[in-house]
Amino acid sequence: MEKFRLPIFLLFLIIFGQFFFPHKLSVAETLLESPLDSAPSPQVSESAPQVPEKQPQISFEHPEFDFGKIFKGEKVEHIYAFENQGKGVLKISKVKTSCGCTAAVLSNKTIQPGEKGEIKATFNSGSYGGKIRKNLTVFSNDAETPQFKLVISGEIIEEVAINPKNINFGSIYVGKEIAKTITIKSLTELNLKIINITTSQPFVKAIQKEQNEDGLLVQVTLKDNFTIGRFNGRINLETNSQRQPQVTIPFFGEVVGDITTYPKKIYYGNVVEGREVDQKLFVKINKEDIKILGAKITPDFFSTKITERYEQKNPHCLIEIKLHKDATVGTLNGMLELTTNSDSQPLVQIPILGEIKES
Amino acid sequence: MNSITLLKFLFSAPIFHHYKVKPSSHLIGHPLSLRSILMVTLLSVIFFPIHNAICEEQVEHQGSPLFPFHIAFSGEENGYLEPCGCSERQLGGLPRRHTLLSTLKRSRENLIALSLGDLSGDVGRQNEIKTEITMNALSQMGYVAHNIGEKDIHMGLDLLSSLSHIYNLALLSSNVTTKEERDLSIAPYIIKKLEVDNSVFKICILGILSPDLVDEDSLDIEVLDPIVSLNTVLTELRSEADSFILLSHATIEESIKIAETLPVFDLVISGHSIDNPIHTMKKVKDTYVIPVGEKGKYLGVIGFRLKKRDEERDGLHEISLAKEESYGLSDYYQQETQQKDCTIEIMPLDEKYDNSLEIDSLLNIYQQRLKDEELVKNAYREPHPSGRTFTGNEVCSLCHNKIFTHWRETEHAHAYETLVQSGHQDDPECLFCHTIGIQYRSGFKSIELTPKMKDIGCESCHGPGSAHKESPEKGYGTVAAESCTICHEYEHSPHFNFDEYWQKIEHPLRDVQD
Repeated sequence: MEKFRLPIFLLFLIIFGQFFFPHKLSVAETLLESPLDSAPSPQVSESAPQVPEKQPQISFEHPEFDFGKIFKGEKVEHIYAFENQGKGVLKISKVKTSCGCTAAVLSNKTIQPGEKGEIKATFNSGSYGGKIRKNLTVFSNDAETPQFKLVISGEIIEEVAINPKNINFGSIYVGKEIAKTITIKSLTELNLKIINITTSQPFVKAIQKEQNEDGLLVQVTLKDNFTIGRFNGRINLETNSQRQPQVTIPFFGEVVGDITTYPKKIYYGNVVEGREVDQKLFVKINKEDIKILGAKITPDFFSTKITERYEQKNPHCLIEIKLHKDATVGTLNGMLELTTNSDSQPLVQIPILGEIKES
Repeated sequence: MNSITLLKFLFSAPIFHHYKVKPSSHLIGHPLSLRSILMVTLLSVIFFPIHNAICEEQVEHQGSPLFPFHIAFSGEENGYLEPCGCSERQLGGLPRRHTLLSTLKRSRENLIALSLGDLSGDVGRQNEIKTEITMNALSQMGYVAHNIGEKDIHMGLDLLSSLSHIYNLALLSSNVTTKEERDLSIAPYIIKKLEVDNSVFKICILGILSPDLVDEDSLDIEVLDPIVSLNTVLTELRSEADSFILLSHATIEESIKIAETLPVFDLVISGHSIDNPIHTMKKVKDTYVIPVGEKGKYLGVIGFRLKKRDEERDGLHEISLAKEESYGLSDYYQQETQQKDCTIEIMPLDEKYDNSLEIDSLLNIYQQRLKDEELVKNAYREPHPSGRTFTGNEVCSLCHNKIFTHWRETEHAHAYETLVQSGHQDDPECLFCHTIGIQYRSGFKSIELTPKMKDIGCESCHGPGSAHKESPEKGYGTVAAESCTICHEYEHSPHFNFDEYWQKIEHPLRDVQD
């Protein structure tokens, strides 16, 4: 009878294994390839933990702190009190804050069983506005909660509130004038006044207009900018607010002609000899009846092809620029020239830059 | 035969006896006893239902194969292209993410990468270049869509729209519209078709931006109520797709509310200003609400497994939305067990991921563009609010030679050189903390024009010294420890401790040569 034991056992294994092995194998494969193993463990607890007798246990009565409302630029301090409720010595290795805006100071790195400790957190509202929620993570030898999460939250009020915070002039046809309005108001009882207004670009002027129910109004006008391309700058306001005596409002946009290209220059970076690399150029047509008549590219190891052309709602075309394998080692110094029927932009030049490296 | 007798009979079968290895020849040609066959059959009968009870869904899968797909997500890049290298163990960076995504694409079937929104953190020329570089990088990584965030609106949707054509990255928003009729090429939804075994599975991706995050009178852009907008889009789409994913550029609370109101979504990718996504994941009914974290420091991946339905619909062989819950996911949320095989993975992009050569090359182009456009030289500079001007270290050394000599041995005195070594010497953001007074008219302009203003010098901490030079008055030079944290903040100097760091630069309080 003993002779039959092995085949019977094997038969059983085969039948039994059919139900279990395929799934288990797929899970194993997933785990083998999963990078999760190397990720830090989230704040989770073991199921039904068997806590050793001398295990420390970190406990915060109030792990979350809401500071309510503070003014922009103000700091707020809070002390998170905790206790070692375990029977082993609690060792805190570090307290990690989630942003540069929050600093944390630990009273003591080693806490005996039953003893208490403190973490002093300082939140600097700095440039924040509106509601915020930041974390502090306490790393300790508490096996059950090796990473304890603390939360600091609240709302930051601006004494000088600007709307909009940035001025985007958008695309302005060369030579055109455009005006935008900024509303400035105080969210406190301050009788807000603007003492001085300056701008960083000569073609942008800002003047204070009459006040309305929304607040103080500043009109910002772009005029006489004849340089095609993107522009940036800022408006500086001096106010009578002690909390925010200076307020900056960035502005930006693009002066366009009949044709705009993105990018203005084509960068290939370092390309290994013998490789073929494609780049794309987006050509936007800003005026009716403007057409691309031709494209010339140098040197001859480049070629161009129009891959997309729309004429209706958003007239544009997409040009593919191919760097061929036969490009010679050295600095790339090419040029794509588009000829057009535009009077103001009959020739649009797009430099091509890069370096062909030896393989 | 009663049950106890039967069990005794069966458990005396040979397979429960002590097993001894026999030569293989003994295994051939022996008939099985009736008792043994009965034993095997009975065990199978017993184990089958037990197994079913334990792994009910697994048995179900055997009848109809599972179709897996994965959503990889990130967002709120906020102009953070790479760890600057100021300190060890900095997380994030586009080159690392590319490496990780390339690896994941080999092991995670049908992976779709999505971006929650906010490519740049601020406006200005440097951020425009960053936006372009980031969009290029996302395109190279194979991202399918980028949801519009409020910082994208600040940057200008015209620019983003043009760039999306070049980099073949779809812009997405179900509730951002233009007040005037303009074609910004923003799709209200995207349907991604996945084909497996001649079956087509459609995943519908929608995106919203919270109106609360946008300036009230923001340009000519209108941000509509998210739930109303989503309802409008979903009315048309409910029967058109098999799974719905929402990119919710909103606070986690608002995203949870959307998930509660519109349970159609399998996944809501969300979070605004949540730095560590691990702490803030939620499950709302059958919807997972998962934040992305800030600055692209994490990559999240969630795996879904779907059951194939063997029925024809509209002539197509469809896969139904019989979503498989990931292993142990519920337990994860209840924080009862630590499941390593959970298929939600939040991966911090740390040093174990090498930089991809392709994205490294792109970041070299970024630095080249900063240099070509002379952003440092052309930056707007204002007068120092004190009315004083910077003089440079050598002027200080005329009276404070001992301190100057000591300073030359500190790391502060080589701050500019570290940027040159890392190729970041043309980056205004880096130079802010590696030179003297770059934001002021009398401060650093370029290494050629203002060589004496390089490095972290005396006036970096003590302020402009022109008045002190003319008439050394009491009080100049007093520095609060807090002023160190302008540069030694958590992002760039996570181990900063004033007492410890002061030791590295400590110099005599007074050192005036009579």
